[in-house]
Amino acid sequence: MNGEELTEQETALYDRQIRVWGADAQRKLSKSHILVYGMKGTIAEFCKNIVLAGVGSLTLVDDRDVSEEALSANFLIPPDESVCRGKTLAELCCDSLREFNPMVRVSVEKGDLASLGAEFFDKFDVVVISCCSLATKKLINEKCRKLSKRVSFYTVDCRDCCGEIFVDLQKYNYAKKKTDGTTECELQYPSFQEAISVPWKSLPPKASKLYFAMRVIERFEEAEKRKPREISIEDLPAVLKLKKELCEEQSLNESHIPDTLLERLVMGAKEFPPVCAIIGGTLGQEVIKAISSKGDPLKNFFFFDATDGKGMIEDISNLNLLS
Amino acid sequence: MLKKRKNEGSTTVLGVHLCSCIRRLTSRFASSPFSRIETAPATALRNPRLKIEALQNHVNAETENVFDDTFWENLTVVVNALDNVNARLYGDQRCLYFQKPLLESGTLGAKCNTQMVIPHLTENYSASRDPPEKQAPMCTVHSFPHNIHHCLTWARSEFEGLVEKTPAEVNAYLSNPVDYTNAMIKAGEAQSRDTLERVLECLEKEKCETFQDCITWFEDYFADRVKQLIFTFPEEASTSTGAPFWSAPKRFPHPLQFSTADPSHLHFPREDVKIETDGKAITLSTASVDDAVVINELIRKLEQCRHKAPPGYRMNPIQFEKDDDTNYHMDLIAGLANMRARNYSIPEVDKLKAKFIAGRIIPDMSWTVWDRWILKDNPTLRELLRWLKNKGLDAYSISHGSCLLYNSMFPRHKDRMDRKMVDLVREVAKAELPPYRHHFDVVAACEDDEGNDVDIPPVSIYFS
Repeated sequence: MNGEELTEQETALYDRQIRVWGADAQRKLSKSHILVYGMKGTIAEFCKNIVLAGVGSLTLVDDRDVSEEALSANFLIPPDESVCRGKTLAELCCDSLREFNPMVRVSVEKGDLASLGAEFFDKFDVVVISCCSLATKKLINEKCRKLSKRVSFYTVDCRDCCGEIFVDLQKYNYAKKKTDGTTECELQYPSFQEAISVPWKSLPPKASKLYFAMRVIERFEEAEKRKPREISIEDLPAVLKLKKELCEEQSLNESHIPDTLLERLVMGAKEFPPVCAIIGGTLGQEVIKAISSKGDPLKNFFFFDATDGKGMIEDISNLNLLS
Repeated sequence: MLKKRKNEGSTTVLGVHLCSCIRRLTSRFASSPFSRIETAPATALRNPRLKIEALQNHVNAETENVFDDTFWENLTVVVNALDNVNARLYGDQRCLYFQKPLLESGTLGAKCNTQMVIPHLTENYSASRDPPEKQAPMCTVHSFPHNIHHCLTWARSEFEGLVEKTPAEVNAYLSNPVDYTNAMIKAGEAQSRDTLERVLECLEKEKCETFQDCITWFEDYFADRVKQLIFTFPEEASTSTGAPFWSAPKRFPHPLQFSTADPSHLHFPREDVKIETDGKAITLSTASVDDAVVINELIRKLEQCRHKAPPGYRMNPIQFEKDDDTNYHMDLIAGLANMRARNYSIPEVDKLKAKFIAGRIIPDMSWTVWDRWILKDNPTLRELLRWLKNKGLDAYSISHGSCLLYNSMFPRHKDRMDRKMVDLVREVAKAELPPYRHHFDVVAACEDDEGNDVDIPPVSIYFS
């Protein structure tokens, strides 16, 4: 990892994937620094993927203690209680991840992510957050955007057997592959705030229902001052009422946000491991693309629902409206 | 393959090759592939209620004593993570027979797919076949490559021919000379003659032992053969319509001068690969006699070689293994392909890229026995060309053995149009067709309507 070239050891270990994305991409991966917040099942999958892929470093933030719920989907946590005692989620996951690939520097950062300053975020090329409130998502996104260097920002959340990924690459340049060579391409991503401010009625009629449903849940948890996922079946009537209000406000037909979908998301605070694998895999893929500048990046939302097996990409941007 | 057992909450993990991420997840960087199966139980630690049994046996028709009826009947579902179609087809048949759901999967580079095979609900895996991957036509690969895939296909084919197929044929002959030669005599075709020639060459010629031998071999491939081709088809050659012969996508080749100053010329392995030199590369044999006579002559010579060889002498056929970096296989193939690319001014590739492309190529060259097409009633050249045209094929070149009977770029060949094919074969190719022979074979090089080369089987022409 010192110097420009991959070492012989790296070339041998990463042989199979170098055949897929090339030695140059592998080199860029080995120099990249990733920050991750919220060690749940999906993030565990994501971390596994990028650690095996051979990123330069991975920093984990999550001071919570292990809980029954955490064990249900996070395979990085050893089931042995004596091992877990006294350690935070981040510390336990860090120990496991280091075993996957000794060539990756995995470490823990303690403290409240929201209170960390620009000089901390400046160390990273990629920031991925999960289990965050609406306010925190906006805050961390803004901190990333204020830095002088371009940082790739992602949020990811899985509830019930659904998942959502949000991507903000700011102003992103890459070589787009065409049949007769490559062309330089520039994409302009909106911030999280800008994206969710897009009027609902301006979105295409077939837009993913999960987008709207997630926004309702987000707003509910914020209004009730709940921690993310601190929601249960008793809250359903209030959630449905909020949905009605928001649809009226946005002049959106209520059929776009089925009650049954909201019910599933309210009840399904726990993650579903196979969906974690799919979302964690997709996210891993996106981060590798962004670091290597290879491949068309996802713009800017991705939704998955295991009940129909569909993965949908939605481009939700105020910048689309301006053109 | 992962198989989940019923009622016990257990999983059986089979097979030697685990997919990449499982390999790294469970192996903790163990160097031997076998130990990866053994560490699969380590994953059970994450879920103590999950029992994992790891077996190293291949799953195929030969292991049905291990994977017997009881084994299959006790399964709830089968999950595949295999690396070849044959294993998948076998597994699919077993699942079909025992009515077990199969979750099939596959990856290739950055692409992947899954298929759910559910009894009584979906079609099974074998019910649909992918169309065969488009192979480059033979004459493109043999003489007119225009991209690195063609060069790699050629290199792969040469590799297989030289170090795997020919030594295997030699061993088949040595193990059972009487049966082998009888089979050749019976077949009596150009194919048999060709095979026998290679076997004889292999037994007769010296091993490539010195550096000088390697240089001779290099020059044969990348200088002499190219010189022969451009002698037959010079740069300014034109087709009968007046268009340049060497127009796109054909690329005009240049012979390479061997030079120790060029490191890529030195990349040919020595002791561990048996390489035969072909001393008679320069002059093309124009005499084309009856195959049966030549076959008998070859067999006689083979007998001599066999008696000269030490008893129990066998060759060591080498099977292509692209993933072993110590065996020089990929070095040879990449080297061959790149030198050929250099002949044709095609951009070369590094060994890594060559490995990826070569791994996907399944050579399908002169070693496979094809169907024949048959044309009866003693046709003329014109009638043969028209018959091919009716099949949507524009035949620009017809040969018998190594003798050219017709090529659209030679104006004087137009005089041959109304000659009987059998007469051309006797006069131009100097073939002796004995009284008991009613047919002979020709090879036609064809293009389709868009000018793309198309491979067709040999055409058997019946003249009586």
